[in-house]
Amino acid sequence: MSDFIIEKLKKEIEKFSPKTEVERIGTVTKVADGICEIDGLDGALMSEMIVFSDQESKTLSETISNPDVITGLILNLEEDSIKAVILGDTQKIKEGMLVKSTGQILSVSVSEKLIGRVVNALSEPIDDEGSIDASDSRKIERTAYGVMDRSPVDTPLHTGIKAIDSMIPIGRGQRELIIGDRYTGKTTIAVDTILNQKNEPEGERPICIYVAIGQKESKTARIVYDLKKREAMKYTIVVSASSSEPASLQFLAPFTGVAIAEYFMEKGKDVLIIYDDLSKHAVAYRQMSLLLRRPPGREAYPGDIFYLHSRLLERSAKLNKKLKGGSITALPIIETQEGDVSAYIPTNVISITDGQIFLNSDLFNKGLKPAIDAGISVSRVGSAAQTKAVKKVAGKIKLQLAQFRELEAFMQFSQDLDPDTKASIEKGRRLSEILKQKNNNPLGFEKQVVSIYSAISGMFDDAEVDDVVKIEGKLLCYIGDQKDEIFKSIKKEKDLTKETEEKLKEALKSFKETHSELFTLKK
Amino acid sequence: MLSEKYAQALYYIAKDKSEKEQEGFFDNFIKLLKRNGHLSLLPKILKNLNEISLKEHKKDKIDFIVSDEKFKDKYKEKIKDYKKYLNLKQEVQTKVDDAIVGGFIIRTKDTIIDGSYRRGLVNLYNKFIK
Repeated sequence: MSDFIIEKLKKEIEKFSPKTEVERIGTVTKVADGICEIDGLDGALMSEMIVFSDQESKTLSETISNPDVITGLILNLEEDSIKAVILGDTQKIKEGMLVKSTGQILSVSVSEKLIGRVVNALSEPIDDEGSIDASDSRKIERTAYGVMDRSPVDTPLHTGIKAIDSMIPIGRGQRELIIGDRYTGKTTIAVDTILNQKNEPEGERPICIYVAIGQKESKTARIVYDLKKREAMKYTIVVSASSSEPASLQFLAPFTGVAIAEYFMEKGKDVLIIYDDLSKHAVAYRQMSLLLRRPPGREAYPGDIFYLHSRLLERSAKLNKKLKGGSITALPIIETQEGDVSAYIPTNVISITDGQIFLNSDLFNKGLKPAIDAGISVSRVGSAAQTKAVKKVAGKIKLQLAQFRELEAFMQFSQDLDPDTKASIEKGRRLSEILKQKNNNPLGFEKQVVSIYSAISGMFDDAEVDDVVKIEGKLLCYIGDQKDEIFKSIKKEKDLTKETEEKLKEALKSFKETHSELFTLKK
Repeated sequence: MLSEKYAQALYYIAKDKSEKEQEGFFDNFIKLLKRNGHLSLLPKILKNLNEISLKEHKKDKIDFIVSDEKFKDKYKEKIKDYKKYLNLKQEVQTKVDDAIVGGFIIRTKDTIIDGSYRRGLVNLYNKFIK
């Protein structure tokens, strides 16, 4: 083996003749706060990748022993100089340092081997599991697919969360915003959606990409740990630009994520991408723009802050059959302050996305988790991306909950209510209970159908409100053990056929008879 | 910004002029600053003038780097060819730097022509470790 290597080395040395290379260069004239000003570099392109080189002052052995390359991204082309952001350790950049042009727009390496890995905003591995042999590269900035390249969103993406899949259904290729105050469960919904993809058959399972922007490293580590524990990392990629990293990397991270997503989409696969969160992304972009001396606008954000998010989210699409029919579903997350959805960044992103899931801190504090405010949450794709089985039960629950919300407010003013109103309120309470779900406990759509059907059919009317969740758990176990053909039928047919519905009704009846001690409410 | 504009105007007007003429321009320049009420910008203007002068001076330079004195004449023809290729009219300044191991480097403000052995050896090393 060593002889083979020696022979190969000999051949390479015999062939050795240094070629002359012509490169465009510039010189660093100023460095501050992650931004450098460069003199020279004629013909530089916008968003061009540049390389900082200090080889001029180094000997051959020093160059070989310290091969670290720091890259930069040109963001301002001015009359007399160029401004670029440094994508790496800014402390290594010195005034007078040589800057080389690559002639290429910034690209990141993409590959099937990224699945299961944690990478940074430059698609470099940071999980200590070795280097990634990248087969391809993709530009981080590119124009989104046009109208004629797309097809309508008609395939559901199941989140595993009853409240969402029934009332705010998401389709593959849709952009659905998750918006709410801090600590209201936004990331939990996103992670549960990733975990639920394990319930999908392998051929239909989307590849998940979680982009952590400006998050605490402990939070990202916890998410990776949970995904690994539940074997969800087998189909997930994590792109992380934590709060300790420069604003330039936080700015790039979502674009890296969507470039990786497009690689899989163009192969005909479905991808789910989560941007957690775009509020921090906007703050990072504001910081960079102010340092680049771009004129500040409203709330000191640059004038093109809307374009930043619109061009990112427009890259999520469902392609037509000619382009292999792949899709990218985006779940961007926005953090509001005191529930103010009319602030600048939230309104921008709401107008871009195809709907929003609004999380209410009052509901969260009352113990209603997930704290989804179904009244103002909406999915503009709607039932077009909902399985028939879920559609059959969802319509009824939405209507009954809407009635309950109106009556609940009315109830505060009057205690003397007619029996029908009281019955609607009690029903509404039980429906609200049935929509509660624990963290990291996504439910397959067939179980959701059974759960919601049992609630709207009045099965819980004889039970205490506080017992509803417990009874639901026992019911699902009972049907799973003894009447599993119901789940199988719903999963296979994706519909609640008449035959299955009859079997379900019988199952509910027999459950109630065998567990009569749970239904103790006296009328 | 204003100081930069003043510095640029002063530089281009006084460039390539005799010392006596430059003195005259400078006197007029001070009178202009007094009249406009911008005399306080003078230190900044001088700083900007120095920066412009250095930048312009760099434009006029071609550095030719070899690893040893004895190779200066070896690459004379190459310099002529590259000057023609890049349409450069500046004077060539020869430097010696043994860190390049062998070969030559020609460097202007915005172009580098690297035919050094150091670069070739680094590329060869990178090829081996891949």
